[in-house]
Amino acid sequence: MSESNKKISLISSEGEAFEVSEAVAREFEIVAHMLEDGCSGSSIPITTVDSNILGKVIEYCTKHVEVGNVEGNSEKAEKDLEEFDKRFIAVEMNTLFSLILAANYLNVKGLLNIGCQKVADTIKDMKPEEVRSIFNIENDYTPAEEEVVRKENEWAFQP
Amino acid sequence: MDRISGLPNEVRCHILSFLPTNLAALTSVLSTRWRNLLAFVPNLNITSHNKIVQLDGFSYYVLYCDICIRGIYVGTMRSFRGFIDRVLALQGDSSIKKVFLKCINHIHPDHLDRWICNVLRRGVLDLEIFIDDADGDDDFNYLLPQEMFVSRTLVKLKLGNVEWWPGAEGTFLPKLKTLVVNVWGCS
Repeated sequence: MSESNKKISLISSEGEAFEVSEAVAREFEIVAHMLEDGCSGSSIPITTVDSNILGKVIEYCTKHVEVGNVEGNSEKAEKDLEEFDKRFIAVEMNTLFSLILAANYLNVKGLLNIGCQKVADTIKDMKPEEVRSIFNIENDYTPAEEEVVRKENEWAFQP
Repeated sequence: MDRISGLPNEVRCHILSFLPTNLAALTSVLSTRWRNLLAFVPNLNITSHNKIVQLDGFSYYVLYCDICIRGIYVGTMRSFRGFIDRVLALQGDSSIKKVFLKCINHIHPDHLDRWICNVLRRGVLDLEIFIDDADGDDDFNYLLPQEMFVSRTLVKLKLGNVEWWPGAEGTFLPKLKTLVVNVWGCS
């Protein structure tokens, strides 16, 4: 594969341009597909992602591209990357959901995975009432309906 | 709409795929938007005996239950079977990638056969089955169903405390890359 030094501008929903290497831009699968489909323009609008989140996604992809380019010493590099991921995803809930939505839209699989894993880890040890409360989920079941759902999943609800 | 419920279905399913199936099932009670999401989660991760039975202030692992809690235990196993049957029915014919099933040998082989055949038919890629010997009864030998040995999709198969099917000569597992059998102490 030929190394390309080509720069690409990713434009956030506010119109702010982020200049990144083509390798980083290709971490966004949606952008990789555009490039493969012959979209040769050097600026690509990412209309659904704001500057703050786009900046973070680029930071994530840049780190992963950098580590991916280093030859040898792979075990240490992998560990570093794991540490980076852990720190990177330790954000407050609103940012976490924005990152997950952006990763899903842009198709950045690694970021989508760590984001979803983070949410799963958060709710893992909680009762449904606690999950409702921390995420402000409105319970729209009637008590009778809720009873049916609990009955259906009786085994899962046993202590 | 709150942010987590507002995530696209496929993203919420992806979140649930990181949880053991019983914990994922708990989310069905959050609100109507979560009711049947489990139907679209492409994996199963079920352990039968991770439940602790509370009795007279003492905790017992169901695995080590004795005769005095037999009644509760039988109920638990029935509800465990019912849970798996319901999840499988909910998922219908949708494709499935990864299945981890760990249970004790008080599940009738007919149920195990049915569950295994179900996920094989749905194209499971990665299958792990562990049958724990609950009472040290050496008589228990679960024989895998014949269908187990004819799968065009299985890539990884890990088996603990289950017997190879004695007549498995017609084995055809063209995609299989990893095979681990009886990973903990066995004959």
